Amino acid sequence: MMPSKSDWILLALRKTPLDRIRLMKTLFLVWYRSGQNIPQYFEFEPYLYGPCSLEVYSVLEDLSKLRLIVQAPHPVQQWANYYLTERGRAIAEDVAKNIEPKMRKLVEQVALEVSQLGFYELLRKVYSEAPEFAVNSLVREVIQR
Amino acid sequence: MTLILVIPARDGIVMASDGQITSGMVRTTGEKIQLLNERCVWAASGELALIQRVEERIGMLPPNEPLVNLRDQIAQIVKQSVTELLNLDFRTPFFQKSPNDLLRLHPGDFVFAEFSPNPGILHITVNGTPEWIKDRSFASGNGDLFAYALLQKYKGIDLDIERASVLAYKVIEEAIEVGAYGLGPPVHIWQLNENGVRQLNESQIARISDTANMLRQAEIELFMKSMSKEG
Repeated sequence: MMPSKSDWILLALRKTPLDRIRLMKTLFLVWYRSGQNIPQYFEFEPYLYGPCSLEVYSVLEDLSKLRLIVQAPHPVQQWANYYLTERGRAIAEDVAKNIEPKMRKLVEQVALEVSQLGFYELLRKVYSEAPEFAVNSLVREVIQR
Repeated sequence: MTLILVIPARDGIVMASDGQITSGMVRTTGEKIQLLNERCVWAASGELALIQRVEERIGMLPPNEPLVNLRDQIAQIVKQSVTELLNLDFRTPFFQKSPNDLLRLHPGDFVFAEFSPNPGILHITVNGTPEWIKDRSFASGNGDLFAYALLQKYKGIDLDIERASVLAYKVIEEAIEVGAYGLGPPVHIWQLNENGVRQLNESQIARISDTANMLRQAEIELFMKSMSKEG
């Protein structure tokens, strides 16, 4: 069975907590590096900060309401990392067991890579790997300089 | 306490506000921007009692009339509402000789935005004077000076409606963070363009918030980088 959109998010957070922008970039890079052909996956468009899928926001909202993920308190709440709850982790473990090992490894590798990058480096990496998704970015020229 | 921002763009207009409603000692959240008709939205800062009176009467205006035709009617509504409140207020006789002090008893400031297909921003002061805001952004409420200061560096820059939305979000978010004005989240954003009027939903606002976040983070990291290079 193909993972659902929420499964991909849980799988990424299973490896490491991520804030919203890093999670967005993780999901994008997984799709982009895997050949841009994952059935029933998020659809990305080139937005003002690079690749973006509006669906990610609504799925995050749903997962928060279901108490499968939580955000730790943060002075600017939208910058806070998302963590799996106990229930969220149990589902993430199930997803990890059932997904193709190659894809699981890719998600884990990308999530870890993205979590370790500064903001500037992250954008530079995404924009250089997928320049067609950086065309509308407000900081493209600064980042690519 | 309120901050309302109107930013004209190349392809539309953005109206944004903070989302905190303060009533005495109680703080809640709520919508401050309202639909006037299919092409026009409005918002107000100031005393709730005055805004409510204006709102009641605005609901009785003819539907889908262009703002240019409604201008004086709305100005009359504001004037009438202020007059009624002053008539009800026991303090009024004490300020008869000082019109400015009299008007401060029931403060209010009203702004309307329409795109049909040209942008129109109408500002009506508490004394009922209407004025068109031409080719510039407009801010109303607590923190308006702070907002103007933040907007200053973007003056004359040709923005599309999405970029104008990010700018509006960023300015209101920063005004909220400074915290001196009793403003609070969530930020509400409405976009007006040739397709009509729409309020951005939570996901769309989140996307704009992330863009504003990205701008800020990139700015900080760029600054840090330049410092380390100098060192």
